[in-house]
Amino acid sequence: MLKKLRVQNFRCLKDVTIDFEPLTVLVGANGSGKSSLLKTLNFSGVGLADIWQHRADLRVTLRMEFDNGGPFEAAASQNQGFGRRIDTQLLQLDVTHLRQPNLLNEERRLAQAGINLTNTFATLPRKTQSEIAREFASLVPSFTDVFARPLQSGQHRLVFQDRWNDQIWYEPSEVSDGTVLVLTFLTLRHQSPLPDLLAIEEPERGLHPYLLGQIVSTLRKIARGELGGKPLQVVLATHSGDLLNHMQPEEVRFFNRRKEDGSVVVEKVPLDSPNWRDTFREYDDSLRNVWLSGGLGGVPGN
Amino acid sequence: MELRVVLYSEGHAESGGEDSSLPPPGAPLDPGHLGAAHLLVERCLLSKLVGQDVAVRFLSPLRLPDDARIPRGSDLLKRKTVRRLVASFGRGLDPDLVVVLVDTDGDTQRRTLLVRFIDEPPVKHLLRSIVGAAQQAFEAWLLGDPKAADEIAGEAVSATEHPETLSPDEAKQSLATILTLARRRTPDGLSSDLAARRKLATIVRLEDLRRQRSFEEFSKECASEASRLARAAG
Repeated sequence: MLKKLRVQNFRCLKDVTIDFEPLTVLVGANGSGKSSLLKTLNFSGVGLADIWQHRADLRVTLRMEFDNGGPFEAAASQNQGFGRRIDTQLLQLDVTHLRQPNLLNEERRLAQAGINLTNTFATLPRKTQSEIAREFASLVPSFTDVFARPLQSGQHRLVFQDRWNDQIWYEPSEVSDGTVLVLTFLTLRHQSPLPDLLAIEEPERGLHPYLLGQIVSTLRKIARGELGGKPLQVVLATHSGDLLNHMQPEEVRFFNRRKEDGSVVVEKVPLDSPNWRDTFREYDDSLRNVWLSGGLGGVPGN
Repeated sequence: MELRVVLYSEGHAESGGEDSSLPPPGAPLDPGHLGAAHLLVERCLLSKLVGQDVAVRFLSPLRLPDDARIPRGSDLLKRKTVRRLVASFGRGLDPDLVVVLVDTDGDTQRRTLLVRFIDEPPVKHLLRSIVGAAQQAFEAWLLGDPKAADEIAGEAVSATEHPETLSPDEAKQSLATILTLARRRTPDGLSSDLAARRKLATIVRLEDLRRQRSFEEFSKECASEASRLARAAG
């Protein structure tokens, strides 16, 4: 598992060190550097636009520490490449793409925007598909089953079975964004090969607040290996206070930009502070409330 | 040394500047963000520190979690809100001092109530704080120096010698009249009511304002707290 990452001179990340948990969430204003940090986990080459203040004389450096094995260090100047130490899957899911029918093809990894969800699901063994369908029905009780139905064009698309009338199957365009996203999250841990780290931008988009707790809980179990298989570390980037309320304080990282030069500062919840416990109680033990008050940073001005 | 202070007050008229776009909570405010109440509070804090190398730096206030607003007016009368404003996160963004400034609107127990909110346990983890409660309204404080009122209006306006006896509406109306005159002065009229309020806050004689008991108590507490913080900082 990735325990610590230090990045220097990458975009707005002039010199940032961040600790990771099995499940970590990055919180900050728009443009606060969350996406740049996620990008460092799976990029392979450096363009001038990737270097701090577009300075060609600087080198982008990465240092990763793991809970087993030695550290990984790499440095690259403009137009140079990086070696990769971990297999990171970066997801910026787009529900329009997730709903697309796919030309039938064997695919074992979900694409960044999720356009091959149908193929990824259909490539799984039937037993695994059934397991996902059961988990899915428990999270979205309007449906009892899901499968990939062939179309005449050589394509296939996902369909969802109505709970109250088993003759009715809904097409992706007929179900909510959240329904499609839940299925996507449940499919991720069955990909093959499984990545070392899953980085998901704004996983909450389209999800009903009631589902967020279950999704976070599922992702945490995946990250800790509690659902079987090897643990799949998860890093989320979010603007959702509702999602934050389902996180544990030690899992949250707040992103801020320094007023002086715009460089990013990453901070943790000050769990070691004697003040923290009492202050958290004043905020009703709600990370959402703490975050939105601005007391720990990670918010814009207004 | 620098005293890092966050001010919460009734509304934009008291603590708003020409620049209404505030930086994130905990970040330093620029001069354009400061309102009349900031300037008056700053003068009170530094009144006993003349000649010492002490400056006041106002920080951007915390927001209300429900709608990201700055807590103002009736927000400041809620126990939960007030306690959150004086809670310490134990990190660099914490101010040295939190000032909560409200109008009593005739409620003589208002300050006592707010102080009680703050003093309830757990006290040890709270930030240093001062609660000011203007007798009736903050506007009455600004009216406390008749000469300053004449000066800013550009003519004799016959401001009352005892503004604390005015109702909140009367105090606001009296001040509004003065501010209007200040804006219409030629050739050096002030650009806005906010600018005129700020100007007034910088020229009023604190000695005159202290004739109002609520201001006297507030300014005394400010001076005392600032001196204590300055001593603690060495």
